Order: sequence, then structure tokens, then C-alpha cells
Amino acid sequence: MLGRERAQPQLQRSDTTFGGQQPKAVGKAFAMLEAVAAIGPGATARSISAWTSIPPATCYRMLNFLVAEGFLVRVPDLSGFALGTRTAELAHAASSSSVGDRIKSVVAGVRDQVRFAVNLLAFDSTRLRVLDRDPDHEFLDEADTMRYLHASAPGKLMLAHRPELLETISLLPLTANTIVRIDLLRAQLETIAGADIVAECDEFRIGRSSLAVPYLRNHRVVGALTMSGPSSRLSMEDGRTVSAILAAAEALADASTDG
Amino acid sequence: MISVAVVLTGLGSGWSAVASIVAATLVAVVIGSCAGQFARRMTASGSLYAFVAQGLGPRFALVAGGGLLLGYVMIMSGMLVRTADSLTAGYSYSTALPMTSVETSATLVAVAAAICACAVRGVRFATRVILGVELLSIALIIVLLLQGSPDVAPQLPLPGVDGAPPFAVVVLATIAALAGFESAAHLGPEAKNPMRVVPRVLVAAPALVGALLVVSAVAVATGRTGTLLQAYFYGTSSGVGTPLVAALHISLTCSWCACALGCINAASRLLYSMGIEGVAPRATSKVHNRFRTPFVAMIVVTSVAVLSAPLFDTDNPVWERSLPTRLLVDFAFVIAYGLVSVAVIVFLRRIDELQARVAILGAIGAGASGGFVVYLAIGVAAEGDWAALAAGASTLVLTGIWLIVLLGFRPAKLHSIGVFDSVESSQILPGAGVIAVDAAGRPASIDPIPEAGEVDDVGS
Repeated sequence: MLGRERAQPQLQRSDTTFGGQQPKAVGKAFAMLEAVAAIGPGATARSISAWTSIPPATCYRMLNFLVAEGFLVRVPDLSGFALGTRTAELAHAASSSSVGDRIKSVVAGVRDQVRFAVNLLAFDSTRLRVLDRDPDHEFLDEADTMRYLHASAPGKLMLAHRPELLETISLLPLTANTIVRIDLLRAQLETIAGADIVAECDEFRIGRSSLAVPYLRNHRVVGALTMSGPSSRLSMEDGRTVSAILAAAEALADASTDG
Repeated sequence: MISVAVVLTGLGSGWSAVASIVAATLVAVVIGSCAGQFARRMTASGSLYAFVAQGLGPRFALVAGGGLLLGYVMIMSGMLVRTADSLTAGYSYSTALPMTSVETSATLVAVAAAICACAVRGVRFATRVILGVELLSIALIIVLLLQGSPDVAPQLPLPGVDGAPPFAVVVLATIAALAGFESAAHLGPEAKNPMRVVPRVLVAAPALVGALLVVSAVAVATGRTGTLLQAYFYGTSSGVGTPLVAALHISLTCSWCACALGCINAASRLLYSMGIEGVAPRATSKVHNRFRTPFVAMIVVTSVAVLSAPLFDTDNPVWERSLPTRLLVDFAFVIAYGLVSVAVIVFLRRIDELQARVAILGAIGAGASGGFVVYLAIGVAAEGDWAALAAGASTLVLTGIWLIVLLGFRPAKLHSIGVFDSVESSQILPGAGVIAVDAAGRPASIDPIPEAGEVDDVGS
């Protein structure tokens, strides 16, 4: 409402000690999240209290806290709860290690062929997330890449396949080359949606470029394989690099398709 | 603070007044915590209006919302009158030239336009201005209160207070000073982490303001207000030095402007909510392209405040408001406070989260608000002051007319009352549920995902 910018909620960092009643409270909080997961969306405060055997007063207070922090959301009539996106962050570590060996070997194969940072990314609900990180080349500006989807090759690929996200991002001019006009970006994304490969040059950082190919799982685009490096070396003109990443995209799709 | 000091000095009341103010403050804190129960669970530009809608339905919400809107606009109008008056007096003092009434009116319009522009510019800017100004003026007033020693008796007679019974006058002055403590909730949707911050502010704001009023009342009880009030009413002719008098008037003028700014921020968000729902003209929900503030609502609020200025009596040095205007504003707020206290009980019962503690707080808030309105209404009626009684009833009358018009012409709009920032798909853990919408296209519930096999385990 009113075009506000809401920052990612953060827990207070001033409380650095962990003692007293806090371990119990953490246990209760997790029990509540489990309760909502078990009971299903729309679980009422009273049913969560009964499921977890936490006294109602404590339960209500903690539920309000979990909602304020984004771990839970209230259903539209405010009478019950559902799991919030922030819960997904808890599961990230588990899911990134769940990338199969075949996928890892495909990505490692690309890394052997080129001297760029090669990372496998997943399309999260609103951001990018690293599934398989390049062990040798640092992922420069990682946090910004995850955030400013309009300026990098993997971000553009994500926007092309999740156009509803366009409404939620602000088109900041990261360099003079960044596309900040929504109509131009839309036109570009339409082209990208049907393309096998996306290239971006100097839009995110002057002197740096990135390439991205879709990561297909069961014929659905669920992420991107991306290469990033200096603009002087990394470009669509480099046939060897382009064919390497395109071949990897096909191999990833094969490795991720069931049956 | 000043008006409370003036009223108490005028009444000649001492420690009993301190007790009344403490009681009124406690009730305000109770009402703040009732509103906080809503603010923990929802974020709405409409504040109490949206909260009451959740508990008591659209009709009562319209009464609460209409009351708040009326209250904010009237307070803003009073502040504009005081500011224009003070600027005119300052001009006449420094140039020894009297200002014509046309020039005073022009000053008022200019001040109103400047405040409106400040508000359109953005809430962050506006609140920083308010904070800075208020801190300075409160500090100055406290210094003056501490300075005034019991030995310095007022050289000149201070204006008295007439009208309502003494207890009610004290409580009226306190409510006038406390009213608007709930305005922080209007800005919830624009705040970071509103579900944590807003409930705290709703309790802290009346507690802090109440504490300042208690300081003021104690100063009266111990006879320390001489310097402050003499400087305020009689300026340099009271024997107080010119720099101090000038500083007092400048800081008071600034803080009146700040108060007007607070009112316009709150009123515009409320009107914006109503505009979105279609209860008020749609245009009021228009947001400024660059500053993202509801500028049309702000212009409407400012215009009505300017047009209401003649209702205020600038010749009366104690109150810029006569008894009818006072009752109009205070009843408007107190009715909304009473409704939100009842609403919290009904609402928490509905979602099955009612606790005995909250029920008691709600009952105290509702009882105190209702009791106050009834007590004053009977008192005023007993004195035969029908104008004041009519003014006090204006919230109910105006919102009643509004309701009849809506029922007659746009009955469907009534059901849309109470918009708040409902959950969005992007906030729900993918796979945990989907938002189901009702016939009107509004989110109604979160349902389980029908086919679990469809959920993708990486993309989420």
C-alpha cells in the first residue's frame, strides 16, 4: 500500500546471549511452525495451542511474533495461520545439498572448460538462490545479483519466466547501461522467454558481463546456470564458451528429468 | 501542556487534578493496548476505523472512522487558527502595524498550504520535522516550568474557565491533549515491521504524553506555572524578558504546525482507505507519482480544515475552542476509542484468541469512554446548553447521514469497509497453501494445494 519499501524483517541482533528461557522459547517456536505445517493452512491459534500443548497466552504472543517476522502469515479473515515465505529460508541449506550428483558433475564439467565463475542458481519465490557454488571463482556481488533481477542475465531469465515478479521489483539504474524503462525491459524479457541463452553486458557492473541458460527440471524452468566474468573476455562472440554452456543446459535438463 | 496548565490554573485545582490526569492517561494507555491487539494482527491505513470494522462490522466502523476524520480535521483547523494568530501577533509586535483580518486569513491559508506541501513531500520528512520541533518546544516549556518559583505570584490575572463541571473540564483538556495517540497506526502500512512497532507506539504514545501532562499538572499544584503563563498571556508586559517570550511563542507556533502536520498525515491515510473502499470519493485514494503519498486526500483535508477555521474563537485566550467545538472534537475521538475497546473483545472472540486480560482491558476502555460521554452529555443537558449537546452529537449525526446515503446509493460499498494489508501470495511458503478469493475478488482464505504432485521442489 502506498508503494512502501519494506525491508526484509530482521531479528534484533543486540541479544547475543542464549540462555534462561530462550532455548525453550525456540523449541516452542519450532513446534508451532511444525503444528501449522501439520494442521495445514488456516490452523487457528487455539488448535496450534492444543497441538503443541503450549498455554494459549504464550502461544498467541509467540504466534504474533512469528507473523511479524514473516515465518507465519495470517489467513485473510485473520482467524488462522499458514506458513510464510521466511520458513523457506530454514530449508535452504537442506535443499541446496539435495542437488543430485549428476547435476553437480554437469556443472563441474562446465567449470573445467571455462575460466569464469560458473554457478547454478534456483528461482526462489522472489529471489535467486545459489544451488551449486563455484569453488574456485568468487561469485562477485552475489547479494546484489540475487536482488536486482532486472540487471543480470540469470535475473532477466527469472523475470522472463516469472513475469509477475516485475510488479514487485524497483528498476534501479546500477550502471548507465541498466535498462530502467519498464516497456524496454518487457520487450527484452519477451525475447528472452523464448531464447536458449541470455547475455548481459555492463548492465550490472561496468566491465562485467554474464551469460545464463535455463535450468529445466521436468520441462519446467526452475533456475539458471550462469557464467560471469570480465566483459572483455566473456561475450556471445566466444563460440566455445557459448556452446559449452548451451550443452550444459541440455545435460542439466536430461539429468533432472524423471523417467 | 500549556492548555492543561492554563485550565488547571484557571480552575484553581491542585492535586485532585493531577489524579484526574493520571486516571485519564491510564485509560488512554488501556485503549492504546486494545488497539495494539489489532495492530499485532493486521496492518491498515484506516487504523481504528479498520480495527472496528473487524470487530463490530461496517456500520460502527463508519462511526469510528467518521469520528476520527472529524476530530483530526477539527484539531488541524484549530492549530491553523492558533498558528495564523500567533504569526499575526508576532508581525504586529515587530512592525507595530496591526494586521487586517484579510491578511490574517491569508496567513492561515499560506500556513495550511505549507503544511500540506510538507505532508505531500513524504511521511519520513514530515515526522522528522514534527519530532525536532516538538522536542525543542517541550524542552523549553519544561525549563520554564522548572524556573517558575512559587514566590513569583502572577502579577496579572489569568483568564478563568467557565462552562462544564471542573472534573470534566480537566478530563476534556487531557483528552484534547492525548487525542491522536492512535495516529501512528495509520502509518503502519508504510512502516518497517509494523506488527511489532505499531502496538508499542500505541501504548508508549499516550503514556509519554500523559507523563508530560502530569508534569504540567504537578507544576500547577506546586505553583510553578507563573512564569510560563505570564509569558504566554501577557508577553513582555508581564516582566518576562523579550528573548524568552519570543522563544516561547516561536516554539509553540512551531509545535502547533507540527500538530497540524500530524493530523493531516493521519486524516489523509484514513480518507485514503475510505477512498480505496469506495466509501469516500475514489479520487481520495490517488497517490502522488513521485512521493507515494495520498495527495488528493491531503488537499481535501487541508481545505476542510481551512474552511472550518471560523468555528474557532480567537478572542478567547484560554481555549481556541468554545465548549461546543470542544465537545465536538472530544466526543468524536472518545466514541472511536470506546468502539475499538468493544471491537477488540468481539474480534478476538471471533478468531478464538480472547484472553481474560484483554477482555478486562476492553471493558475498562469501553466503560470509561462510554461513561465519560454519558456523564458530560447529561451535565451539559442539565445546564441547558443545547448547542454544546448538538455539537457533541455531530459525529453520530454526520456518520448516520453518511450511512443512510451509502445504504441508499452504494450499499455494496459498505461491505468493503475495513481494508487492510492482507496476506499476498508471495508471503506464503510456496506449496503451503493458495489464497482463495470470494465472489467480490477479495482474499477470503488460504486453502491447501489440491494436488501435492504438482509442487516443484527446487523452484520454491
